[in-house]
Amino acid sequence: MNVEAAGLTRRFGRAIAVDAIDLNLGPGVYGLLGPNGAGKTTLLRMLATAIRPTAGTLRLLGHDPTDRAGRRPLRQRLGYLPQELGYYPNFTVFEFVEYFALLREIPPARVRSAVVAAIERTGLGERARSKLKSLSGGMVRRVGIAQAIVNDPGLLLLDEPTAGLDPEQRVGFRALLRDIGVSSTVLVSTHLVEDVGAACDRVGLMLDGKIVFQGTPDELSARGQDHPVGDAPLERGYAAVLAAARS
Amino acid sequence: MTIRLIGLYTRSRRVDWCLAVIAVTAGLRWMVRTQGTGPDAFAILLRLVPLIAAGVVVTAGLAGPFGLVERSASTWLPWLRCGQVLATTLVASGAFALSGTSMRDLAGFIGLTLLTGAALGPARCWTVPLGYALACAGEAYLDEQPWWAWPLRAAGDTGALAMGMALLVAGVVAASATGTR
Amino acid sequence: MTRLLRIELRRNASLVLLPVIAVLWLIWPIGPHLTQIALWGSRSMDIQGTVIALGPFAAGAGAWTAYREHRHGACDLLATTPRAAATRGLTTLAASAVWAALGYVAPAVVILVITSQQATWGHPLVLPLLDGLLAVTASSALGFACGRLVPGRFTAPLVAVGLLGLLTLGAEAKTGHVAFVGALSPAYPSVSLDASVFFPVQPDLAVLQCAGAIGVTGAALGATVWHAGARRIGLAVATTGVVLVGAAAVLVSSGHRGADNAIMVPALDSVGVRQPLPYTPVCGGTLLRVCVHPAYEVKLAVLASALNRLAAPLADTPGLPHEIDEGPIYLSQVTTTHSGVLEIPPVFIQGDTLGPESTPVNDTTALAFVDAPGEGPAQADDAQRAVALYLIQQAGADAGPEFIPTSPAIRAAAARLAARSPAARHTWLATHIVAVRAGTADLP
Repeated sequence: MNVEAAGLTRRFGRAIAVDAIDLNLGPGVYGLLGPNGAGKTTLLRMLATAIRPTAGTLRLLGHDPTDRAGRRPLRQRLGYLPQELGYYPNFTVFEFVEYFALLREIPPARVRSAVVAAIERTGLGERARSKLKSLSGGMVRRVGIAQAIVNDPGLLLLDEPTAGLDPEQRVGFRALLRDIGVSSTVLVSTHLVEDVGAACDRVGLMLDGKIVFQGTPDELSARGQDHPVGDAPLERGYAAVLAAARS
Repeated sequence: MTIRLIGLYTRSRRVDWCLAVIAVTAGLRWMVRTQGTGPDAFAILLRLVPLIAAGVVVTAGLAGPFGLVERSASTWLPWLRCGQVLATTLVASGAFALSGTSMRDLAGFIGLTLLTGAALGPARCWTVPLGYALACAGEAYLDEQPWWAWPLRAAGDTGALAMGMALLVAGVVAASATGTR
Repeated sequence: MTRLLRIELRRNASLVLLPVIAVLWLIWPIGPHLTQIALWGSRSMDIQGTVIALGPFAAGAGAWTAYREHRHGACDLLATTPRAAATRGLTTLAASAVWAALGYVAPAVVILVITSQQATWGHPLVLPLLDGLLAVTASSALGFACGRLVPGRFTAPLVAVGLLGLLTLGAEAKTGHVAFVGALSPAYPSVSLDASVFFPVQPDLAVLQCAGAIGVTGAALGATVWHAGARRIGLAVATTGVVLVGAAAVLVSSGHRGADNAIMVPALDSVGVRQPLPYTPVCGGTLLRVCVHPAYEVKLAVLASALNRLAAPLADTPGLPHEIDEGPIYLSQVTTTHSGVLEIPPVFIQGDTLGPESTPVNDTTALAFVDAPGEGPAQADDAQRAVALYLIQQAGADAGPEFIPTSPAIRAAAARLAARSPAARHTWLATHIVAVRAGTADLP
């Protein structure tokens, strides 16, 4: 298992953002759905080692992220795209991805090829020398994805990765996720259920800090067969599970 | 409703914090009020540095967190900015008057900083006034008083007063109209 | 690591400031100095003095760079990378410091090359030059640390302006042990100019200024590392830096001014080398012989002409000194010896005239012409001031208020003297100059 979480909890003052979650993930693409404020971003931030859990145990890629010694090799094999990508507008696309390749401690001899590959995989080859401030929002998002995959991560965490991408780019991106998911664990937080249906092997649904559903996209669709809300099977399943959890 | 808007605007700009920094700067100037009284280059700099600090606080205080959303939503914004600049300038004048600071120099430097902020943004608003103060100090070192170095002129110099006030007016107008980028 | 530094160097905010720094070098009055007498000591000090202009900009750029992660919301993303936050921070700091240092070194090299073709005396003073470099680097590091510790919109501007205030306050340090602490400011001349001409260079203050700059850099590096999470090592480095600054402050406070006008620190003292350097003066002049140090030989003609013009009305009057020697003395010590030699400090020349900075020397020299031997300018009475004022004005100069404070009566007396015919004036001076020197004469 690449992700092993038991009783994972995160509080912000009195508010519980993530409430005793158990999660075990191997290779494959895992979609994380849920309404706003469900705790998806907080869960991803804990898995990305950006914040520490308040309680519970967590092992990622065989390492304990709370342990100083384990954190470094873990981070070398981690890819993360936060919901709001911070970037330095004066960096070029190549520099930005190279910068993170270096920070992720890719062996020097491999940095250039890894950067070129990541940029090509996200379709930004022609804009490699462009400064980030000259790019559109969708392109910046792709740069964010490029930096997240530059180290061929064993665990890839993507928070709203398709926000700002046009339909053609989203189709390409789903293919990229499936490709990476063959050997790695990809955890995608999204509001777009069609992304989950097209790219994910498994799906989890969060509500109020808890995972209220785990299964395949087909199983989620099946839950909504008789539910009146939603235009597509997955949307009906999503709405049905939420309604059941709330009642 | 207007009062409520002014209140929310003031909070968004952390005006209370700006006033506190101005008070601290004026206090520091008061503590070294016996220094920087002569005509030499370092004394000139010592006199001008607190004025740049006051200008920086007045200008950087204009920067808001809302960006385009705010600009596209309110026709009141230039007036709110103008009010903020005038209020903080007035407070700075009162605070600095206690240490015998020249109001002409204070007005001129606040104006210069506002103009720089309007052109280069609040983060770089200090660059031109700082360079200008250094240039004035350089002229003082050479015992020269070129026309542009109005802070070097005697207290009653009408031309220097006019330049200081003109800079303040231009700065207030520019910062009110365009804000700090 | 090198590649990371390369990216940081390419995209560092300080890079944008390089044109500003170039303008600063142009507006700072080092340009006019290049036309004056080229003493290696003077040029070295000029270069060090640019810290007051470069330091604040380096600090502002450092602070601006330091909180870019915060400003651009990249903290989360960067926190998930395996590279230690301290390493990341220090790489960015290093890039800022490199550009700041380059902004100091590149123009300094140009000035040194120019000086090498003009120099009349001495050799480049390494310590002041090094001190300037360390101070610019320390400014950048200090700004960076402030930006990391207190990220916010006011940080960069206030750090820059605050540093300029501190440097200036230090440079204003004049006398007294407490004020000597201010001499640690790199804007304070670390070596007395006289020291490089008339005395061997006294390095006490320069060494302490270097130590202070290294201490500030250490404290800033420590604070940056501490902020990045390496608390223990950060605290240790920062503490070492603060202790170094403290030690330098204590040592400089124990100093006193030596004969060469330099700050001497007993703990670092080398009294044995404080003897004046021997030299053979070069002399010129008509009415009065004017002798200068060979370093100032190129200005001898201008100086001799100016001083002879000052003394011209006193030609053939009794008691006029027969020689003026330039030496390492204070203005308050300008006087005629009983052997008829008048000693003055080195004089600033601009082009072919005395520069405005020479006014005090001009004033004290005129007073010494009409003072009793051994008396300093502070003891002059109204009659002596009136005659001195006349001498200065007839030579085409202006008197300053420091040594010749004038009253309406003194100005009127000088005007009366000037209004006399040359013959009548010479007669009055010839008959009254002894009484004037003795302090028993009435206003002319």
